[in-house]
Amino acid sequence: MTIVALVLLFSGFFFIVVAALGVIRFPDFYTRLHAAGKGDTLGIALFVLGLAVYNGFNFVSLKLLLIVLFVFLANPIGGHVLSRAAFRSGLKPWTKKGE
Amino acid sequence: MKFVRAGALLVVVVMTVVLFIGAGALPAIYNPQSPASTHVSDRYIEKSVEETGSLNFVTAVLADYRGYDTLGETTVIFTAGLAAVVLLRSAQKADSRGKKVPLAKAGKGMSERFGTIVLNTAARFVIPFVTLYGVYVLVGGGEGNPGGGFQSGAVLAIAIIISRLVYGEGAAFNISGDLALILAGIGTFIYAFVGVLTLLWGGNFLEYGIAPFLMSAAEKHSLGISGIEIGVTLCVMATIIAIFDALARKEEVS
Repeated sequence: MTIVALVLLFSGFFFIVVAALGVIRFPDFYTRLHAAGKGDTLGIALFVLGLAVYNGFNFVSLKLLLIVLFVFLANPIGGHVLSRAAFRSGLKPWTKKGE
Repeated sequence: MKFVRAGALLVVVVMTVVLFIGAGALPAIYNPQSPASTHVSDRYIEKSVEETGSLNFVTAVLADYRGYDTLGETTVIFTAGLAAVVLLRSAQKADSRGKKVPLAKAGKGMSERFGTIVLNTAARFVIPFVTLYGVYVLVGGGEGNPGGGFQSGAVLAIAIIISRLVYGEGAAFNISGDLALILAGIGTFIYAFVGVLTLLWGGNFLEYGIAPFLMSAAEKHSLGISGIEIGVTLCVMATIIAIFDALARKEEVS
């Protein structure tokens, strides 16, 4: 059980680190949002799932699963609305030609 | 003007020095020999359940032993909210050339501007849960769970703000800025009124145990704490909404 939890935790760490790298390294708003939205969501979900597994099945792990559910709900929708708002207000996506 | 600024700087420097000297004379935070640890903490830890009927002694300290202090905090929040709203509204009344600008009309929500079915569905799904959680934090606050009026007010305000952001000012689940100001006043009033009620029943201000109900003293304390927590919740929620409303209107004008 502890090994499963550790694997989940460290894969969560991995995705969060990759997402943070992406936010710093990617060229424009949309690609950065892409990194933050996808990487963070999966990272946090794995991380909290790992904690839930480590904790065993009880009321606390149920609460942790609820956190996973709401992160899954809120994070992608935030990214969706942000990118849509940026596109509607005229922010051009980055292309290689524009360099 | 320069003279005034130099004077202000002098006051700030002197106050900083005085406060640092004062802070140096305080006992260390975890020092078990300090007066706070030797008298007050033990009393709270050992007696608060039997004296106040509240399983959570943070709540007991905040709402019972130091009820005056929390009344002050609530009033500060209300006053700060009023000041913020007054400043934001007076700032938007005249533009740069001194021309009066009317208050913004009902603003559109995100849903009309750039929303999709994704946003609408998500908001409809999230808002009830946030509201429920806000009420849970309030009701569960005194019963051994973390929580209480201040947190509950913030969470409930978030529920209203999500609705307002997504559906605009015409949202069905909304509290207008003016109504929010009134509610903030009512919340503060409820808190003070609980105190005045205990005065009328012949006790001290906020002495819950004096209430003429057929209950044990601890239950009366618990009831009194619930009363003032509801006041705090209303005040915090309405103040946050009022400030948000003033900010949103300012954005829509400019």
